[in-house]
Amino acid sequence: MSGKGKQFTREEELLLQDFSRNVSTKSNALFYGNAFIVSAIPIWLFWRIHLMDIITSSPVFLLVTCLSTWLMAFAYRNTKFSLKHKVAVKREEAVTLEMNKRLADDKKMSKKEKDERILWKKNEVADYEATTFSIFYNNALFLALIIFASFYILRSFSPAVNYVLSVSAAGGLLALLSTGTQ
Amino acid sequence: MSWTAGRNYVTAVALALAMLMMVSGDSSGGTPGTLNSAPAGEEPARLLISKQLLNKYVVENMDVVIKYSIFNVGSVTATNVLLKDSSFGPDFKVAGGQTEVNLGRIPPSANVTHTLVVKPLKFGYYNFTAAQVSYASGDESNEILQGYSSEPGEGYIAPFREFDKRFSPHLLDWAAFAIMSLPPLFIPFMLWHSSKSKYEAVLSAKKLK
Amino acid sequence: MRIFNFVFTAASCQVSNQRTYTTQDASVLTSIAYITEFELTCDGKKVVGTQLYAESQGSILQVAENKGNYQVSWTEDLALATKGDHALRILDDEGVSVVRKAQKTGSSTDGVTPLLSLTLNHPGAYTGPWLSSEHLAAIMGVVVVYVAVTSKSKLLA
Repeated sequence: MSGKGKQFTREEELLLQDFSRNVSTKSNALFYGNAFIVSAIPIWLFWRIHLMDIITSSPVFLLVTCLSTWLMAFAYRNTKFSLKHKVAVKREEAVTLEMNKRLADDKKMSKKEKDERILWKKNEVADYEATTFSIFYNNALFLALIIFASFYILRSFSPAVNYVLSVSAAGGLLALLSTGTQ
Repeated sequence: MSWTAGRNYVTAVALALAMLMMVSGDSSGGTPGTLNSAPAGEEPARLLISKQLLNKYVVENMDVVIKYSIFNVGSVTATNVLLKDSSFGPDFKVAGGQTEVNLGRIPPSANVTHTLVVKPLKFGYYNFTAAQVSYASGDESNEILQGYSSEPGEGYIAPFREFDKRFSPHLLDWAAFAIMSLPPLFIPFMLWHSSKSKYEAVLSAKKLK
Repeated sequence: MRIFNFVFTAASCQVSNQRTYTTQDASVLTSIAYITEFELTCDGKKVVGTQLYAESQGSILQVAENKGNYQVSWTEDLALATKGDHALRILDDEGVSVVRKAQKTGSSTDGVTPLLSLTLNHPGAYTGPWLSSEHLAAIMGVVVVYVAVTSKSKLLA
């Protein structure tokens, strides 16, 4: 009874993890790190091409980068969550096949344990693919939006205003988009 | 209503009288400013010179195109027309054209142009002053008439670095941006893609069996 | 640009020391300047002080002179400026009156023999990059977004 209960709880745990929006610390670190890098890149454009003085504008740069980092991390999390299930469904068969092949030789493992491992692996693959794709997708849209906003739409504005508006609008838009269904 | 009509009538009469006086003044030769060499009723040669800078910006070490347009508003040919522009001193280098020329004869109502290209050697504010012109009216007169061109006025000669920063295509900066953007885009994409293709391959292998 | 040229022409006039300058960086200009300067020798004697005219494609320009150094020049709006060889026929008073008469009556001016013929070459002027780097960046942006969006839709399908 206790053994079964324990397995149930393990399964429940995995399922909960599957459906939960909470991300592990490692995932969080990955998201914030990527968000920071991609939010810092537009500083180069504004310094060299829009000719903003880097020293006098550094407080603005810092502030907007922090805001954008938070917005992008938010977007990454939500996009990943919305993709994870679809990916899991798509990879289910392939992962099962691969794991079965891998664990076929191991006669000592019980079926339950094998199933558990397969479930874990499915979760891991779905997590991995959803995370990497979310980062790629949001980064691509972020950088493209900034190019369009700062060089075409907000072209006639002063560089500082241009910077604040393009970066925060890009980050904000992606954060908003990520909360939508599908 | 009648008051304005009355005013208009008075103005018209005044104008007519003024014109009559002008005409009579000319023929008597007594009006100040006219020359005795011109035949009665004819206006002596008079040149109007416009000096224009055909530039959007004036930048250090880049061409400045100066166009002189000389128009004879008199009714006598202007002869021995000498155009001299000494406003480009040691701070300018003449790239093409001459600053002192003889344009010969300019018939009445005719238009002649002269072009000069200079390069500023220094940046800063510069007052572009007028060029001088000297000519005679007709072939018989010995009197030398003088005129000045229009003045382009004070202009700002931008330092080359400033112009370059604003208007160059910044190719290197864009290339650096492209290199910087590559890792955040390429790496996640490749990681995702390799996992995706790996599992799709597993599926297709199974289907083949 | 300065070109040193010797041109042997009809009649007994020859040009020496021809220098041409045309503006080749038009990024700050509203018009292109075409200038050519030369010295003239006719019948072995150097020509100084004679009024000359230049005819180019129907329009007559007054030639300026400074102690034997003649200058033909004109300006053209950037949009209308032509590059390459421009043929100039140098005429004296007689020649130019014949040309003007012919132009008034509408008859051809080809028959008029000029004192000499000159060529002014303009290699073209730089007016800015062909494709601005921002447009290139925007194009790349569109491509990347296209890839991202199509991959996502395939994923969610």
